[in-house]
Formats: sequence, structure tokens, C-alpha cells
Amino acid sequence: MRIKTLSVIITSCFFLLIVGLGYVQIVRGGFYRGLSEKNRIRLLPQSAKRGTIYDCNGKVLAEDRISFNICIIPQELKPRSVSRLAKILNLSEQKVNKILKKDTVAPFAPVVIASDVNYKTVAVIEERSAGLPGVVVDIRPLRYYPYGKVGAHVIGYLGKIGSEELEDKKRYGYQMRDLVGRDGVEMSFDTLLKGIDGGQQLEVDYRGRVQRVLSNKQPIKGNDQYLTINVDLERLACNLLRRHRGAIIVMNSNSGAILTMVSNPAYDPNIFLRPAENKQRMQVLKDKSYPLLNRAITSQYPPGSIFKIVTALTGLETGKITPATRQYCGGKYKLGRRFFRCWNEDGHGWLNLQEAIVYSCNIYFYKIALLVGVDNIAKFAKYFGFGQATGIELPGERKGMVPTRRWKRITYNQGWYEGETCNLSIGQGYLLVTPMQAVRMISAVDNGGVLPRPYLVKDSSLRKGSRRLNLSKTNLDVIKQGMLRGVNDEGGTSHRAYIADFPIAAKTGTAQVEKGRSHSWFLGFCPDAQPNISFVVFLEHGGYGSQQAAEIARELIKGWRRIQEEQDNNET
Amino acid sequence: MKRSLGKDFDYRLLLLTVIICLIGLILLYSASYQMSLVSGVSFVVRQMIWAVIGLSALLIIANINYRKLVETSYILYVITLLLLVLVLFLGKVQLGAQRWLQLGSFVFQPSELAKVIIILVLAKYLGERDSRHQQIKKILVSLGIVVVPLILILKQPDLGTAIVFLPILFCMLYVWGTHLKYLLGLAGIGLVCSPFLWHFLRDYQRQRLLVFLNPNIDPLGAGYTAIQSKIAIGSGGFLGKGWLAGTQNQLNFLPEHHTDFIFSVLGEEWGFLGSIVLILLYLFLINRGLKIAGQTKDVSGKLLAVGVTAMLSFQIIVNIGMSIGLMPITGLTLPLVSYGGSSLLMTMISIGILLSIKMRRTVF
Repeated sequence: MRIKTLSVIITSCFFLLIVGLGYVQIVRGGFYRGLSEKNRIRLLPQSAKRGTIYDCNGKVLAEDRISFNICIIPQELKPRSVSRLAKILNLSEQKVNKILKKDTVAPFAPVVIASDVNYKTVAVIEERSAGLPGVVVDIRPLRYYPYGKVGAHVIGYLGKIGSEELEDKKRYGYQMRDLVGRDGVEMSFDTLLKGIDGGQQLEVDYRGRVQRVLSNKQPIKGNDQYLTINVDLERLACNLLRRHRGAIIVMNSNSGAILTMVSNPAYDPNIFLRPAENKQRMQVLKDKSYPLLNRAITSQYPPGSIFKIVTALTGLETGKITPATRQYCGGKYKLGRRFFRCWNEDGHGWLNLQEAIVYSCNIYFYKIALLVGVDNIAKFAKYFGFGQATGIELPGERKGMVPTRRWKRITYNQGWYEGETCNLSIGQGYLLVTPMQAVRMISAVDNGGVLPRPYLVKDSSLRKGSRRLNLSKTNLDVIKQGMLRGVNDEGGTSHRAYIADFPIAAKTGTAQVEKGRSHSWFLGFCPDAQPNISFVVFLEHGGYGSQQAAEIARELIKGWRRIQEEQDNNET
Repeated sequence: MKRSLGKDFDYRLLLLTVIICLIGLILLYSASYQMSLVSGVSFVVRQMIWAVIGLSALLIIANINYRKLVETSYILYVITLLLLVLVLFLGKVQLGAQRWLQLGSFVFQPSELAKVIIILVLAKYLGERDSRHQQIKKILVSLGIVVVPLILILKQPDLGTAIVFLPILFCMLYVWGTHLKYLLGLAGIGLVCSPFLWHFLRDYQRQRLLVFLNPNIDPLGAGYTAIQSKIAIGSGGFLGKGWLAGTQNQLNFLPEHHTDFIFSVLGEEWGFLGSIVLILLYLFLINRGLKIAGQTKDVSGKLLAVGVTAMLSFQIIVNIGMSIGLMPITGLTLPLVSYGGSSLLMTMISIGILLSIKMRRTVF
């Protein structure tokens, strides 16, 4: 009985809904229809301009510039517009129709037919707008990287924000369709570069056409970023490296400011922003040589002989050897049942430490290594910053790898072999470093024992953490002299980098790998440069470090001197 | 025995459920069209997955004797209370409320579960007690059963779900045989207490109530949704603007148009005609539920059917009512149609319970 009553009550509620619906949709339908077609308030977001990125001389590396897109509003389109527009844009009529068909979202939403067209085309279209119903020009900021591939890995590129990322970042003012930094400074400094979006409250008609502006909040441009990069040197380095896979870094030895960081193969960050260059983008993403990888910091390699600097300093600092300690090199060295070889099969004869560096003798370092032991070498390697990120303001930095007895016990459940100490002493075996770590280590040799914190953005508040190493000045000088002689002496392994009137101190490295040619390293500094600079040239599978890598370094330093001269001339 | 169960299977109820669900998917396709274009996320596919899960749950529940559910309801009640407490501490915060529990990539809303469990517990408690003696005591205990989870849900805050508990309790007490004077007394107390409740509401909830009384006090703020929803439905007129052609919906004038306000999409794009079709389908569904209640001799089963039907009716009436401006805005979903996994799943389970009752109503 009571269920009957309940049924009556619920049914009447439903009929009440129908009556209400009838009132809203039929009786007042015309009124609401009018409201929906006119006088509607809409928020039109105006995205803030992204901050500009400059090099150390104020040259623009990345900026938002105005771009023009030619769009069609399907609803308002007349057939004659298509053929006229196609003619102006130099496209076939079918092509325009194809884009239109593919990209139409709603009758009232503009479809982009051509993006980033030049000013002349815009002028022509504006001029003939009366004859082109349905065609509109949409103006919007577009990120532009004037130097293209040069500095790509440092500057980075932009991509659309992902939906999960958006969830995380919503509270920082990110919105759907926002572009965010995907690598480099664009990524690390994204929140600073981004700026604050503004918007207009508009009264629009049902097609979204503006009737009047109700209120206006100006967007605020993001913070500009000034980099320590010298784009002229960057371009030169990029050019020198164009035939190789690898990386070049030039760093101010005292401050840690990065003057140049190049990784090759590189990509043009502009292609990520232009729909028309979809094909190039796919190519970059699929390329087996991984152009997106910043080989200066996100790849780690065995360092080869450049690590002898660390081995030598370990010997000196622990007091196990002196600069005068002599060892004999007969071309090979027997340890247990295995022979460890020098790269020079005939042997170097008797050498002291400096000569061992000049000629990069392996046997000398094997013997020192066995004197000091693996854990001392590992301790000094870590002291020089290997096995830890350098903290440069770029995403994706790798830490490298410094092996120890303990590490091997934990990882492989095996003891450490003496032979592995020999390998470690010449930068082979388990040891892995990034070019960034290498150049930081050598800058400490150059500046008298301070391990600088590398940085890219001039007034980055993160720039702290240079570390004074407790090293004896005389010991450093011995190494320095060895490296200078390595370039100056005819028989020195670094001699190909020799420049007549300008001293360079350097060490080569040839790191054997399991498959393919060896990696080549050329690591050094210019003691007479103003400011002091350290550099590293790294070629993936580049063969002997004393050859191409050394020549590239020579051209790099010559170029740097030229660039400095030009700048001095410009100033005076 | 098996055969007699099969014969009593309410195919019409199942068919109504599936049809309404399909209508929901068509509406969702349109409501999420723009969002999917931008984000690449297909809301329709997600909802379809949930619909399949829900239908399976429905069939499983239909094949379980509802008495078993009633028997275990006290344990389920305790578990639900624990989940509701848990959500206050560990819950995922979305849209300013802490309603969701996350298990891996699976997000669940315990307050949806609570609705069904409350019905089960009340069916057990009242079903086992004679309504002819000591009514006041039993009414007070029932009230207690409802109030504890109600307060927990109000804390989240989820006013919409919390408020559903009251008509469920009311209808079940009514069918159980409560004296009308007690029911009226209960309603009277509720009315007297409501000014105090005002004090407990969050700012945005107060805002919504004020806006319901006069939407024009804040046309761009709290009143915005109310106005835009009315404009959407009203501008649909008799025949509607056509699928995917509703400007209010597609131009994004209407917030939450794929969840709470999906009826506005129906009203705008399919007009009065389309809306009536859905309302009538719902009416058939509700009447199937009440018919099952009427045919069931077992008091627990009868009360269970009443509770489920009351829950569904209330949600339908309040959701459509708020869309056309007859009621204040509460975050209640439209059963089987609104986007959202927990809500769809629990609705399907409730209908599964109805089917189970129908099949076994005369078995003993």
C-alpha cells in the first residue's frame, strides 16, 4: 500500500520535471535561445610572452616573436575563398580542402591552413579580405631560435604540456595547450621564463565574435635569462664537431662559467614548434644517433688516459711518489699471468712523472697505481668530482661511475683484482665520466686547486658550491708542466694542438671500448688566456685522442683568440 | 530451481539499464568532444570500459542471493566506515574536496559505496524487526546508522552524496511501517535544525544555495553554472540544436558538462523531445524497482528494493532539477549517464541487487 503511495509521489516528481523542462525549453525557449546567441561572456586567455634567452654578449638565442597563421572559419567560408586563398599561399586547392577536412573541429573554430607565413602574404590577404570570406589571420607569439642547431642542447626546446604533467603543475599557473621546456635552459628555468598569463573578459556572440571588451588583465612577460655562453665560439665549436659524434665544452677555469657546450649530432629546436616540419621532427626523434642526447652531460664514457692526471696526483698527494720517482717501461708489464701493455710496444725506457705525462706512458701509471691502491685512486677521483653530478643547471645530468673494492663486492660479489687497479689507473674498466666532469677536474689543475661549480645562467641563484681542494701547489705545477710539455715537445702525445705563440696544456685520452673504434679525448687549458679557460674535446669512437681531437682543440683555441680579438677591436 | 530463477529474470529492467547507458555514451561523446581533441584522452572509451565492468558486476550480483548480502551487511558497514575514515587521511584531493582513494592507477570514491551499504544495513536492521512495537527506539537506531557515515562524508566535503541518505532513510522507514506522525516529526526536526546546518556548510556550498535563490547575484562566479546550464537547456528548444552542435556545450560555456551537468548537453543538443525520452526511460526503470518491492514478501528484500529505488529516483530528480534550475546545485551525478567509474559501477550493482530480489522474491 505504502509502495503505491511512494510510486505516486515519485511519478509526480518526474512529471514536475517534465513540466519544468517544458517551461524552460518551450515557453522560455526563445528567450534562452536569444541569450545563447548573443551577449555571452567569454574569457579569452592571452598567453604571456616567454622570457628571452641571451648569450654573454646580449645576442638573442631564443625569443618569442610574432607569427601569423592563416586560418579558415568553416562556417563562414565561401567556395571562392578557397581557390583565391590557395593561389595566394601557393598551395593547390585540393591541399587546402584536405587540411580543412582533416582539422575541422567545430563549424565555428578556426582551422590553421598555413602557419608562420611571412609578412608579405599577410599584407596581401588583409588587402583582399573582402573577397576572402571565412579567411582570417591569427596573430600569436612563436618561440624562435635564430641560431638553429647551434647551442640546441644548452637552450633546449619546447613541447606541449602532457596531461599528467599538467596535473602536477596546475598550481604554478600552467594550463592546457601550454608549451613547456623539454630540455636545456628552457626546461630548467621554465617557471622563470614562463611569465604570467593574462586575459580578456569579452562579450561575444554565439560564433565567438567579439562584441566588446569587459575587462583586461595584461599578461606579464617571463624573466629574461642571460647565459654565460658565447654564441660565436659555440657556433665555431659546433662547426668543428659537425662530422663527429661527441661533445666540446669550454669553461672559465676560475668561475665555472660555461662559454661553450656543444653536443653533436644536434637538432634544430625550431622544428618542434612548426607543424609544417613534422617530418624533420620525426626524423630527429627516430634517429639512431640520438641527436636529443646532450653528450656533454647525459652520456658517460671511460675517460682513458686523461684520467692519468688523477692517478698522478693521487701518487703525489699520498706521498707514495715524488716528481723525481722513475720507473722503467719496457713496452709490457707482467702482473700475475697477464701482460699489461703500453701503447708504445717498444717501451719508453726510464721515465720520471713529468715524462710519463708527456708521453702518456701506461706502464708508469700501472706501477704507481699498484703502489697507492684502488681505494686511494677512487678517493681522489671522487675528490675531483667524479661519480657525482656537477650540478650544472641542465636536466638529465649523469653522475658517472667510480669503482671501489666495496662497490665491486656489492655489485658482483667478487673481490677486486690488481689488474683492475691497472686498468683504473689509465681510465679504463668500470670507470665512467662525463665530459663535463672531465673539464671541471682539469680546471682545478689550471686554477690552483679549486673545483668550480659549472654554471650557465649568469645570475643564477644556484651558483654556489665551488670547492677548494686541499692540494699542494708544487704537485699541481708538476702536472701542469707535464701537460704543457705534452703539447710543446715534438714527441708529446698532445703535440698536434701546438700553436706557436700561445701555450696550451693538454692531455690526450684514447678509451678502448668493447665494440668499435676507441673514444678519443683531448682535455686541457690555456694558462695565458684571459680569462683562464679549460676545454674538453670528446669524440665518440673518434680513434686516437692525439689526432682529430687534438686538431679540433687547436682550431677551437685559435678561433677563441680570433673571437676575443674581434671583440676587443669592436670595443676600442 | 535454476530454471525458475531464469524465468524470473527481469529482462526489461536490464534492457532499460543498457539503453540508458548507451544514451549516456552518446551524450558523453559530445560532451567530451572538445576535451578529447585537446588532450587525446578518450572519455568515451574509459566510460565504456567502466560500463562493461559495471554490467559484469550487475550480472554477478544478480546471481548472488541478496539475502547473503543482507546477512554480511554489518561487516560491510564497518569496512565502509573504515574506508570513509581512510579517505579523510589518505584521500586524493580533486576540485577542492577529498573524496577519492587511489589504488595504483585506480581511483575510487568510497562515498558511492556507502550509499549502497547503508541501504543493505537498514534493510537488515529494519527487516528483522517488527514495526508494531517500540518504534521510536528502532527509528533512533536507524537514524544512528545513517548519521555516522553521513558526518564522515560531510567532512570530505561531499554534500550531494550525504544528502541522498535522507530520502533513502525516509522511504525505507515509510515502507517499513513507521507511523506518519513520527515521519512528520522527523521532517519537522530536520527543518528546525537546518539553520544550524548552515553553519557547517563550506563557503562554496552556501554560495550555491544563495545563488539558487537568485542566480543573478553573481553571474560570473557561483551563479555562472546555474545560468549557463539553464541557457543551454532552454536554447535547445523543442528539437534541440543537433548532436555536437550545442554551442553552450562545445564552446565550453558550461563547466562540468560531462559529469554533473551532462543533462544540459542532452537538453541543448536533443531538445525537449530527447530530454523527455530519457526522463520516461528513467521513470520506467524506477517503476520496475517499485514493482519488485511490491511483489516481494520478505521484508528485508522489500526494504532493499525500496532503498535502491529511492536512491536512484532522488539522484535523477535532483540532478535534472538542478540542471533546469528547479533545485540548488549539489554535486550529484545522473545515474548511468554521468561520466565517472565509481558512480556507474555502484548504480549497476544497485540494479543487480534489484534483479536478485526479483528472482528470489517467492523462493521461500
